[in-house]
Amino acid sequence: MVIKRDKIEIISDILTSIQEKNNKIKITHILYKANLSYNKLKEYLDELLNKNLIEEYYDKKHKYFRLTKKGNEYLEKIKQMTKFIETFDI
Amino acid sequence: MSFYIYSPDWFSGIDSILEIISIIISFLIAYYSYKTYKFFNLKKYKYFAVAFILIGLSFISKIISNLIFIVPKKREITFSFYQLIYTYYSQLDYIEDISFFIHKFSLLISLLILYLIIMNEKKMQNILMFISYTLIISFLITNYLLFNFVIVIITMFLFFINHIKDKKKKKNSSLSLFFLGFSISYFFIFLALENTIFYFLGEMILLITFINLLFNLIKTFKK
Repeated sequence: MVIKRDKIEIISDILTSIQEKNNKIKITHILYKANLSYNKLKEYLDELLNKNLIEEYYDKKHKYFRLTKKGNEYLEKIKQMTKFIETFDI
Repeated sequence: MSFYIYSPDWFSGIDSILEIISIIISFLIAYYSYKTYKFFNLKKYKYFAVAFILIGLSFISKIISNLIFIVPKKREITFSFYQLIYTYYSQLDYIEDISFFIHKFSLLISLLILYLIIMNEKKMQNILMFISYTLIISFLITNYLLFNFVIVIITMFLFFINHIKDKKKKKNSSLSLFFLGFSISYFFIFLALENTIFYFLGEMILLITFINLLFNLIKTFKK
């Protein structure tokens, strides 16, 4: 139960870090923001790519990540649900 | 037995309309709580949803019970045949008793569920014991509605104390106010035995309590 919540918190951190960087973020920055090991972050990013929540693209030979429309909606949902828990914290 | 006797004549029926608002808000909280459970897989929000469905159900049964209490008086003239009136009355009495029992039982069970969530009680043995007690109490207080009031007042007030004492909880948690408001409103309804105006005040406090809950829910989903 707790594991799942933690996972969502990590996903939220990753998606938020991408959003805060205006949809142009390198993996090293995500690594710093999400506070994860490289291998662990890679696992999460692969999952998010597979679920079509984020996408990667290249700009001047550098790889960047950005949120997809689905990713933006998902992040919004996480924020709303977190706010609900804060408001109705039993 | 009905709440009808506690209400001022001019307020009879209006209380039911006000309670429909509380029912809608209860079901809305239950719906979003269940969505939260599905999203984060936090089981306590599943039970929280059940508690609010039961609160809504208790108000629905209260409305039914009140309506039945009023209806026969108005329909008396329509039926002239004695047997028909008798059957009609006894069936309504039966429905009134059932709806009144559902009102008490669902409200007490919802309090119990909230208690189990707050106390983080997981032992099935204890949970079954509490449910049995609730069932027994609901049967025993058929004609002692005031006893039901006292349980609600004390339990909700203790939830309030527990909630504001818990430093882990966010200070803006709207549940503290909900528990306090519910407790105060039932205290006023309890006083309605002395003067029916207190029933009106109790119902108004209950409505404000639920509207505050709705206000907080809307705030949650505002971008």
